This record gives sequence, C-alpha cells and structure tokens, in this order.
Amino acid sequence: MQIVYRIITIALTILVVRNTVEEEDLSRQAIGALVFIPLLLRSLMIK
Amino acid sequence: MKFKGTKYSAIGLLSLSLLLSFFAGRSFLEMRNPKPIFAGPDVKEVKHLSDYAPVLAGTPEDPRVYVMEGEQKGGTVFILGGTHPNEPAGFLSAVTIVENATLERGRLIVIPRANPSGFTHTQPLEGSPQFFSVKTPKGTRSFRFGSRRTNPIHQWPDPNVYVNKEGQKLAGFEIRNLNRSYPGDKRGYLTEKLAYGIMELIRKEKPQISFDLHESSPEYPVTNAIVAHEKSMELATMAKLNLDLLDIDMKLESSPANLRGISHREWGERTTTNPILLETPNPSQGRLRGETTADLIVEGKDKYYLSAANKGLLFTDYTEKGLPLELRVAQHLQTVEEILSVFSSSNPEKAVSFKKIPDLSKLNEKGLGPFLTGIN
Repeated sequence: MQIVYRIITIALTILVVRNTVEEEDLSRQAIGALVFIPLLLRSLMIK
Repeated sequence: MKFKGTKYSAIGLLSLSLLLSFFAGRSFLEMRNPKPIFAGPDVKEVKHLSDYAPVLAGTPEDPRVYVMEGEQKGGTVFILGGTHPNEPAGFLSAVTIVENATLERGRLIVIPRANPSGFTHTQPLEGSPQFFSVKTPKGTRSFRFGSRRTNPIHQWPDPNVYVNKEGQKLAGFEIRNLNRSYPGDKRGYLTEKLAYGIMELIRKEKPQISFDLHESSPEYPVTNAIVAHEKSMELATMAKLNLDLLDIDMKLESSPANLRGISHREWGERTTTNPILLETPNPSQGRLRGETTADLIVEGKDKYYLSAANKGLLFTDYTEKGLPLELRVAQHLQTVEEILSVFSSSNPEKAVSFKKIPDLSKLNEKGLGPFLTGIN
C-alpha cells in the first residue's frame, strides 16, 4: 500500500514542479514552491 | 498587484524550497537514529523482541530486550518502558535500571524502548521538542522525546474507528497506540504485531511480575498511581503502604475490567504474570501547559500548572519547584523496588531483589545525571 502512496506523491511532486515552472505569476510560483516542500519530503521519506 | 514571474524565478523559488527541504529532511531523519543505551554490569544478554516473535524481524518495531541476571537464582520480572515515547520518566527509568542496577537474586528482562517507531517522530500539533538533555558528570546526554503513537510513516492510514481484538471501540488513531492494542495480532497492523510480540515474551519467559512504566498529565486523575489487575492488587496494596511510609504519594487504581486492550488488563487475562502499570505526573504532556520546551521535560516547571495547582485543579502536588524528571524516575524506581520487596518476602523461592539501584534517596542526593554517564 505504501508504494502506491509513494507513486502518487512523486507524481504530484512532478506535477507541482512542472506547473510552477510554467506559471507566469510570481505569487503563484511562490505557492507552488511552498507546496513542493511537503510533497518532496513525503516522497522521499515515506516507507 | 501582480508580479510577473519567469522560468528563472520559478527555478529560484523551487531551489530555495529544495534547500529548506534538505535541512527539514535532515532534521526528520535525525529523529530516526536511536540514541544508544549502554548495557550495565548485570546485563547478560541483549536480544530483540523478534527472538520471541519472528514476525517482527526486519520491521521498525523490533525493540531491544536486555536480560539481567543476579548472583543467585530466583524469579523473573519484566519491565517495559517507552510504551509512550512522550512519557520520558517511564523510558528513562528503564534505561537507568539497564545501565546501573545490579541484582542479588533472580532475572530482570527490560525493554526500555517498547515502541521504537514512536521514538522516530513527534506528535503533530503538540509543539514538542525533538530532543531533551540530561547533564551528567561526563557531559550532556541527549534523548529523544517521541510520540504516544507509532509513526504514520510505518503504519498508515488510520481507520475512522479502531475496534481492537477485544472489541473495544476507539478513535481511529489509537490503532497506532501500543497500549490499546493488546493482546495484539500476529497478522494485524504493525502496532498489533508489536503488542503480540510483547505478549509472546511474557508467555515464554513467564515473569512473576510485569511492569509497564508510564506518565500522565498532572490534571488527569490517574497520576501518581499504581494501576493493578485483580491478580496484582494485594501486592500493590502492600507496596503502597510501604511507599506511604517513605512519603511517596502513589494512589492505588484498579484496572477497569471493561477497558480492553491495555497492558494491565490483557497481560493479566492471558498470561500467568501479575501486571502493574505505574503513572507519574508529566507536565510536558498535559493540556494545561504553556510552551513545550526541553527544559519543561527535564525540570517540569510551568507557570500555568502552578496556577492550576493553586486553584486545586491538579491530581498531584505542584509547587514552584516543578516536577523534575529525576523525581519522577525516582518515584518509578522506588515503586518497582517496593513491589519486588513485598513479592520477594512472600515468595522467597521466586525472589527478585536488587543489590544496587538508584532509588529515591540516591536520586534526591545526586540527581539523574550520575546514573546516565554513557555519552552519545
């Protein structure tokens, strides 16, 4: 089950990074960067 | 007003997040490194719980088991600390025994970190520090302050309602609470497997007495308490009278027969042991506390608790001196010693007695530091 959560979290992380880079509004880029932190930590640390 | 962002600003912001994640991740991972416990003079063997329950091998819930033996043969006693890693006196009392105690008679089996996974994280929304330190003559020694429950990284997700093996309905997150999971389940959730492992140890080693060392909030009625199963009540009553003579306030509480899944109930129902659970008051876990700092864990001083005490709202004495960790550890150790003394005098062939243990007078005189001189 944990592997499913890991795959979902990694997919969301990639999506957030892609959308942040494509975003043209600086404040929305900042929100994307903030969302990136917990997703990245979750992707790396989930077992 | 909108500021235009470019690909470079996005990459800059993401890089900053990556940097913050690196430091946050390092701090999280640091919590997963168990602080060492040093085997004392009478520790003859260090095992793992998976030696009793192989299902735990290779899982995050395979605590170390320290087997201590005295010079003379006698009975066997089991001491469990760290069931709830946010109750430091329970854990440190077990550590103090492993590192210092010497036995005259019998065997002592000690698990200081009953729920190792609970030591790898802190409880969300509690603002707890990750570590606290005790000053020793050889320097400062740091210990983990963990969570009451198994780390969700190791066991997740929680159900909405947890119905344990005895049919007790509990809040979903209690599925990660070791002391709601007895008698455990070999094929159940990780915490249930851990509970099963502890039951297996008790079934195989057949200790005459089993202790589960805890702490509770000062405003919770079951604090400064010996919680005893019917089987252990006579023993606990005699020990309580002895503790009264030493001016140690330990109330006697009967294990509720209809509250299932808890050590003092299930150990008594399903094994031959006499279960005893001890509670000392811990201001760092209570709901009335102010800022939760490492000093609060060690010194137990909190102005809100003082105010509550002055209004008569606490179930323990509380003054400006606070409730220091060394006093709470002393209370645990002295209670263990008195219970063993009562048991040994009426069961001389199964006696378990200490030759040396840091009891109330020694801890009052020297503090906790001199008994925790292993440095990490």
